[in-house]
Amino acid sequence: MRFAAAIAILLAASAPSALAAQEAPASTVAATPDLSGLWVVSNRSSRGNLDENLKELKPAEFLTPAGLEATARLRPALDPSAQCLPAIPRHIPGPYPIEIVQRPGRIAMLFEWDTVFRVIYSDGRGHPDPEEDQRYMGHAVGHWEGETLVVDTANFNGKTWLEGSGIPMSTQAHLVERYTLEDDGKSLHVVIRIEDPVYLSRPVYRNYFFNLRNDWEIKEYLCAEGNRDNVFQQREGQPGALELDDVIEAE
Amino acid sequence: MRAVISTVLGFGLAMGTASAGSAHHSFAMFDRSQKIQIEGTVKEFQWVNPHTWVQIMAPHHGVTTEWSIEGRSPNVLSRRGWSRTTLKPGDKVTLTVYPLKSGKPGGAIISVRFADGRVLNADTPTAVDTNEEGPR
Repeated sequence: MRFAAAIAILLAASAPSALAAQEAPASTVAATPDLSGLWVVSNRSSRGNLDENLKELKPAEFLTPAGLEATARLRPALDPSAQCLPAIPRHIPGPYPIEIVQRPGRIAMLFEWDTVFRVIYSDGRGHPDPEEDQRYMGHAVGHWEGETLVVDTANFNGKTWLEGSGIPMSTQAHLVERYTLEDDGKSLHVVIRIEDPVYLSRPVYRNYFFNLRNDWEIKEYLCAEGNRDNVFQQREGQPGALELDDVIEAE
Repeated sequence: MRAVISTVLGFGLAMGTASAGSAHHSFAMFDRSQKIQIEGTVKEFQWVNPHTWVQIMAPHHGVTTEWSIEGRSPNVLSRRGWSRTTLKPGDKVTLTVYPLKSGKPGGAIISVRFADGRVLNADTPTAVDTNEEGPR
């Protein structure tokens, strides 16, 4: 809670004078970029799981033995996403649009995919007790480092996959996401650092670019309506493409 | 009505290989080294999330069978020129699909050719490369 402490110090320093309190934050607020808008992932984004230099890693280079074992025989029917369950970071590259709504102390990300949202608290609070509060999309807090929004996400519930290849995420998974406007505000560059001591042997990175498309609008996406790929809810006569026993061997 | 199987080499734009990946689930159960043409009559077009489905009556091992052809979501397809009325029951169409590896009458749609020769792509990447593209 280093950031909370820093906020407390800032507040204490500006407390003696109401005038100072008004003047000091003014410059800080003015410097904070506004990420609001509708963002669509770009083909400029990198593929795969990357090292700190954004070079793609092979599975053996970043998965623990538990991670390698979990992905050796992929069972697509057991993908939480095939049961309409959302996940972070998976919902970030989507590929569906994300509407970002920013206001003081909070930044909301409205995901078209699955019509779900997350709120990033940028008011200095920390994460809740990880034993008591576990979530599919984690709990997110943010702060600004210059022009970059830095989001720290924890409190995962251990029920999601990192990606469709079947890498699980444990309750100890921890993300640091960095959001920076580029190209005169028309692009949003997102670098995500992912740690998970259970399934990842080293931090892995994702590198995404989004294009601002305020001429688009978020559509509804309610996954439960026609989910024939949920093998646990298949209807008679119209099978989906997945079967419970499907197994894809790792290459 | 006939089913034609051809092997394709360039399938880099297939579902799941775009940078953003396939959203809802792995498409590994489809054989993306083959494209099959299914010529038949649309029974039903299910314009639903997470994925659309074309139920089409077409030959399977010589017998007219109901195929279940999975497609991208209405959200993706509606930005690619499709709508809920693009396919209607009774329409005579030819679908190009990646077949199920299992050999069952199913697959993932790549494109549709209508009776008048018009072709609509169903498999373009969702991600957009520049801001120059118009609204979808």
